[in-house]
Amino acid sequence: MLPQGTFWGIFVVWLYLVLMACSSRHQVVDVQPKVQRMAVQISAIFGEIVSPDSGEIFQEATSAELEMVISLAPTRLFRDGSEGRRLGVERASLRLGADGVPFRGFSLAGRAVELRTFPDGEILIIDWVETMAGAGRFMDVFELIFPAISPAPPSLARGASAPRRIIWPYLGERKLRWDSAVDAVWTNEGAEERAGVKTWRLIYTGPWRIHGGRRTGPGRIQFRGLGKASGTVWLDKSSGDLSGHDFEWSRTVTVQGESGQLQQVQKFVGTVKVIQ
Amino acid sequence: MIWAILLGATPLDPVGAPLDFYLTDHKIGAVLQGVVPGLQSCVGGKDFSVGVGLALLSTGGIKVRQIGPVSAANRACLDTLFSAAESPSHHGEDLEVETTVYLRDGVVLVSASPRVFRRLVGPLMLFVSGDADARLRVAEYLGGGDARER
Repeated sequence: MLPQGTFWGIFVVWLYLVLMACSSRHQVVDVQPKVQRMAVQISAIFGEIVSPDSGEIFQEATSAELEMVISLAPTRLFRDGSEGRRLGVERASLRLGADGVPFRGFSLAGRAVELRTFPDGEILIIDWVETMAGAGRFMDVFELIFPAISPAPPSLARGASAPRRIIWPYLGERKLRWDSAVDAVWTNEGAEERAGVKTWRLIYTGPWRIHGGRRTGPGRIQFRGLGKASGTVWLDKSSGDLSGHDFEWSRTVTVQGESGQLQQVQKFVGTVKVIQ
Repeated sequence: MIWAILLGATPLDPVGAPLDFYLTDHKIGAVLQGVVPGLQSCVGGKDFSVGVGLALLSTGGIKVRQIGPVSAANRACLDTLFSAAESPSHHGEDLEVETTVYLRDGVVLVSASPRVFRRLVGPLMLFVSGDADARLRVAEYLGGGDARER
């Protein structure tokens, strides 16, 4: 048993450490603005959603065309070397079906999240991602946009191949979380000039897995997904920054709620182009 | 031993709290409470309670949507004060909020539990192109968990 004076001494030191740890909650280092703008286009095919019990069709099979212009602006640097970037949606449209009927109430434009990545592009956290998810925004379904603009390829010599995972989490409210990973094998196919820009051309392919959910409390839910991903990434030879990305990803998503389970097949073909 | 326990309870990574892109419930409460000092000098007379509907604009500031039954003088006062109140700009859509203003014994209070209208988010990871009812049917089939995420 410690003497009372020693205990209070330790307690005061501990309290000081706690308060000091809580003191600097915001940006660690100011960063100079270097805004990147990108055009993203995705053609998607969605399978029907059917009740396995009654056969009721909740969603007919459909297709969708998503077009976005986004901006990426540095916000802060963290102590672990990772960096925050504000991903803002400048323009966005969603068209449905073969006729390309505009989706009414699509409200993605104007929204923003913070993408926290390591300098190589590996995604750690997407803050505020739930504000782009769900009804009228759909970034929970089109979430591959995040790795599409920040794919984090390995550093490879010409002609070399190596495995490297593409990972990103979805962190929602009330302990909702799922993790996505593509166990990609990357190959550097050499130099290529695109629109006057000298680039490295890298290709990747691998299985795409998703798992997570909310394990406890009301609203328990489980998300699982299995599919495959492949694509071509072009990196600016001088800066190493992303210059373009063509991709083709697909998955079967299974959502298990407290009283039912539903599945949907989802296929995505898309491009990312740096426009500024 | 005690050092290990106390250090174990120390926050390890306090840096990295989400930036203020959107209005949290805490921030909404702070905006509404910020109006209280002005109201104090404005309303008078008998005790009353009145519902107030507001939009916290994405561009910053507040727009008064509706004010419940109250005298013309009090209505004008509430309208002026809420319209002039500060609310930060944010990346969401204009946020609809309902609250209640109370006058009790000359003291003005604003409800500590405003009603905030948020959109239906779920069901997640499934592409449902239908309206809110279609999404609600899917969420309810799964178990209602997502349906509560408004």
